[in-house]
Formats: sequence, structure tokens, C-alpha cells
Amino acid sequence: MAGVKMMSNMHPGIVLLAAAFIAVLLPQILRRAMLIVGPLAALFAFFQLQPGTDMDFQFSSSYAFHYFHADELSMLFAFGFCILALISGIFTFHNGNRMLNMCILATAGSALGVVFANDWVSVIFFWELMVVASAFLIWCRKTSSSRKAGLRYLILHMVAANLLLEAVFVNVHEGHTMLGQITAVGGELYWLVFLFLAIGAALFPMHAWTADCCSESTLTGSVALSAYLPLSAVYCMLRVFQGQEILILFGAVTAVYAAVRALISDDVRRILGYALSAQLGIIAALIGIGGELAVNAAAFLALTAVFGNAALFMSCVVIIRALGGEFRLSQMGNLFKEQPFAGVCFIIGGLTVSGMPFLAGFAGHAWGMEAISAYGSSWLEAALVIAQVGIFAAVALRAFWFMFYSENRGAKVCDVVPGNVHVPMILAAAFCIIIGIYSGPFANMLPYKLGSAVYSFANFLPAIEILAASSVVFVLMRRFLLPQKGLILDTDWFYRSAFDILLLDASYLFCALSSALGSAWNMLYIKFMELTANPMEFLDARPFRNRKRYDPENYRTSIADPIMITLAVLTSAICYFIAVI
Amino acid sequence: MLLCDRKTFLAFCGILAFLAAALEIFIGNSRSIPGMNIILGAAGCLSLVLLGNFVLRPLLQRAEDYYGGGEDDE
Repeated sequence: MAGVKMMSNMHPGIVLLAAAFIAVLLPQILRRAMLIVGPLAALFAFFQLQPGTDMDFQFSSSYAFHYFHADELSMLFAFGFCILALISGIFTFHNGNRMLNMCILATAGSALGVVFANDWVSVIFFWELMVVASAFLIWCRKTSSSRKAGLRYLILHMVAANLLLEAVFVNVHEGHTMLGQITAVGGELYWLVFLFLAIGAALFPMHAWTADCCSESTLTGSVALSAYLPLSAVYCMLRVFQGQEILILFGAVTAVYAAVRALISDDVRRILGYALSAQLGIIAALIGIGGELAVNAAAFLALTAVFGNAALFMSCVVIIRALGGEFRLSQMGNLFKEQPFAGVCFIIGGLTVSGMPFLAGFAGHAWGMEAISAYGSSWLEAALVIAQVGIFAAVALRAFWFMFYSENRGAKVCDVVPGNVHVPMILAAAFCIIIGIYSGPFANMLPYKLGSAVYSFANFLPAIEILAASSVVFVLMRRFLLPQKGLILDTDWFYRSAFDILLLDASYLFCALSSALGSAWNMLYIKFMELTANPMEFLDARPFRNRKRYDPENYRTSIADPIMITLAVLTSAICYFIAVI
Repeated sequence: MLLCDRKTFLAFCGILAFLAAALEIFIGNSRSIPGMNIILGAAGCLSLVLLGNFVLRPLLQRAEDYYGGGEDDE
């Protein structure tokens, strides 16, 4: 009992961080075991938690870190993150890479740290830890493109973290150290926090990092990258930015734009990255609406996005692994016979994120539509329905069809997939189904208690109608959606290409300037040395002299000068002597 | 992909859409216009396909190695 009592005060994130640092020291077999033991210990600690738990660390007489505060919202996100830590741990079990193992656990631990933090400084501490740990999930792939992608990811999120740091300074200066809703619209704090959240939650035009990092990271790392950081940003949004109307506009634009991008991309992980971005856009718009129903819908969509995207990314990784690294949709096809398990999990994940009834995403979408109807904005309602249709068409129809059923266009199964990867796929798919059918216990974890039924006729029929109508259009228009080889540029072009060119050209300019300055200085130095080597030659220089004429008399010092100096000193000394006497 | 010809498929979809709209009228409807969700779903999907295929793709599509390749270190 004493042990259980002790665990009731144990921070699940710190449990995972401790597991990450212990894992580094262990031999491979124990380190791999730690990928499962660590998340299980964190889950155990989570289930011992009581809402209302509040712990702090007195840093100085005037400041305490409130690093552990558990309420309904933080426990909802923590539940999703703890299960995802277990899922990604089992999924990575076959991989003995020390750095990857440590960073998978450390990313999950620091994401839980963000979720339980109740003051600004604790949030930024765990946030920066999460950014650094997750950057290594990209670098562990060890290719030149992943190295560049990791650097882009790190720089972008460090910029975001510095914006948050400045927001922290502004907050602390104003005497607010604890997290709380920002009420002053348009001030410095408002814009700093908005920019931080826009980058973290991948809102347009800063949305491209999701597709970039998911497509360039290690295969197993993409499962973790797709959830922890963007959903931690969503959590922060719910904590401090509820009801801010700017989120509605940016969320709606992101949702529709990312859905279009998902519909035309060729790289399957980019498709899933854009679909994730579209989901984040829908969630952000709901947070922007504010109110109990919209906030509940956003929180529930975030929870279900964890499981839906995990199922999608894991199935996708299994297919890429089986095809020996082939990631292009244009090369795949007819894979259901060879990878039926991945196909089933992929469609469950795809339908979940699309809001299909009887799967986890349905309740969030239904409540979201109710909230938007109550808000009374027709354009927003249309935009979010279009985004939902786009996610469905891109993932559950296009990607699924061209991966698993259409004619194979070259990719062959050539690699054996490790057996352990099927367990987390079952877990993620099972959660998608269980939450979809028995949503009651999970809905009770939401921040607000609502009496709204999930499976009412008013919710069920519109969802079926929207998805069925888009399926019909997809069937009729599928020849326009054939995957084509190539890269479709995005807003990241500005920092990947334009900024790169600007930086390179500016570097060349500064190098040329430095070189010219160096040459000029060198010439000046040489001339100075030449002139000072024999000052008399310089003094003797005559303008318009045609030929150099050597005359030793010019360089001979006159005898009169030292005699005059000696006489002057002697006279002064005699005068002084007489004056003293 | 289709199990029947295009006309039969469209007729079948039309009948289903009509039945769904009728169901909305008789049982209850979350929107003012019956069948609005069907129109929104179809028009939304169509607009995304057209926007993606005829606007974004011609404007923004580049070669796969536009940003340079990513050879394995190991």
C-alpha cells in the first residue's frame, strides 16, 4: 500500500524521463525492455493520480515551479500520451538504437511534463526538452536530408520556444506566473503566445513542418512525431487561448489547405502529415469558437487523433518497411493480399480521423458541428465540412485505394516486418473502435460535463451523408487523383529555398567584403612598412621626380642638432643650480 | 472499380440521396434544407479535387529531387 501511495504522487512524465536516462546506460536487451517497462510504469502512475493533485518545487523565496497539476483536461491528454508512449515503445522494440530508444521515451516524458505543468517556466522547460528529444528522432535516420530536416525542425521550434520565453518574461513582469486564459486581445503577450501556438500546432502558413518531419524522420520515430508536439501545442491552446477568434480563421484556412495538399501528395507519410495538419486546423477552429461544447469537441478530437494517427502512421511504416523503403504512392498498389493486417489498421485509422460513425473520431466531429451551428457561421461550417471530406478522401479513399487495391506499379514486398509491430497496431485500432462504440467513459474525462448524446439521428445521418457523397465524387473523379511522381512545394519553400539562397548570397557578399577589406589592409600594411623602413626616404620624396637619384648627403644627420641639444641641457642645468644656491 | 456501369451507379446514388433527404424531412433535420449535407459533401470533395489538381499541382509541382537528394550515410 505504501508503494501505491507513493505512486499516487508520482509524475508520469518524470517516470518516463527517468526511464529514458536509465535506458541509455543499459545493454541493448534491457534497453529495449525499458521501452515497454517505462510506459507501463508511467501508466501505473497515471492511474494512481487523483484530479486536483498539485505539487510544486520552491526554487527561490519568490518563485515556485508548479510542475505537477492534474485536472480533467491535463488528465485527458496525459491518458492519450501514456497510451501512445506504450504503443510507440512496443512499436520501436525491435530497434536497438540507443539514441532512438532514449529519445522516444524522453519525448513522451517531456510531453507529459508540458501537460502537467501549471506555470509558464515549467511549460517552457518541458517544451524545450521535448523539441530537442524529438529532433533526434529525425536525426537518427542518418541521411543528409534527415539531418537538414532535423535542423529545420529544431530551428523552427526553437524560434517558437523563444517567442514563448519572451511571453513568459512579459507574464512574469506583469506578475502572472501561472498558466491562465489570455484575456487582453492584441497586446504583446497575445501575439507572442499566438505565434508560438501557430508554429507548434502547425497552423497555416507554419504548417509545413508536420509533413516535412514525418517524411524525413526515422520510420518508428514518425509515430511519436505525429502526436506529442502538435497535441501539446493544442493542449496549451486549450489552456490559454480559448475563444480567441483569430484561431477560427487560421484553423479553417489550415484545415482546408492541408486537406487539398493531402489529396495531391505522392509521399504517403506527407499525406498523413498533411491530414494531421488538417485535423489540427479543425481543432484550432473549435478552440477559437470557445464555449463548453466546442472545447469538449476539440479535446475529444485531440484524444482520438492520438489513436487514429498512430494506427495510420504505424500501418504506413509497416508498408514502407515491407517495400524496402519505398514511400511513393505512385509506386504502390495491390498490397492488401500481402499486408492485410496493415490494410485493416490503416482503414480503421483513416475512418477514425475522418469522423466515421462507430469509430473514435465521430463524437468529436459531431459535437464540433453542433458547436459551429450554435456559433452561427455558415462559411466556417462549410469550411470544416470540406476539411473533413478532404481528410476522408485523401486518407481513407485515395491513399487506401492506391496502396492496397489499385494495380501495382512497381513496388514489391522484399523485407520481413518484425512481429512486435503488430501488437501496437492492434492496440491503436482497438482504442479507435472502443472509444467509438463506448465513448461514455472517455467523454466523462472531458473538462465539461455535457448531456448531449453522441449517437442521435441529428449527428449520425449528416456524417453518413457527407462521407457517402464524397465517396461517390471520389469514385467518379479518381482519374484526376492518380498519384504522380514529384514534390509539391509548400510554404516551407521560403525557408528551405528562398531564405537559403538569401543566406547563401549574403554569405558570399560578406565573404567578398571581408576579403576586399583584408586585401586593402594588407596593402596598407605593406606600404606602411615600406615607408617606415627608412623615414628619410619618405621625407626626401619629391613630387614629379623623374628618376631616383641617390645622394648620401640627404641621409646624413647634421652634427649641429646634437650639439644644440647638449648645450641647451647644460645651460638649463647651470641656471637651475644657480637658482637653488 | 465500379461493379456496374456509370449511369446505373449514378442512378443508384441519386435514389439513395433522395431517400436520405426524405428521411431528414420525416424524422428531423439539423439543417434548414433537406439534403444539404449531401450537396456539401459532394461539392466539397469536387472543389478539393479541382483545386488540387488544376490549380495547386500545375503551379507548385516540381521534380522529386528539387531540394537535393538524401543519400544514406550508412
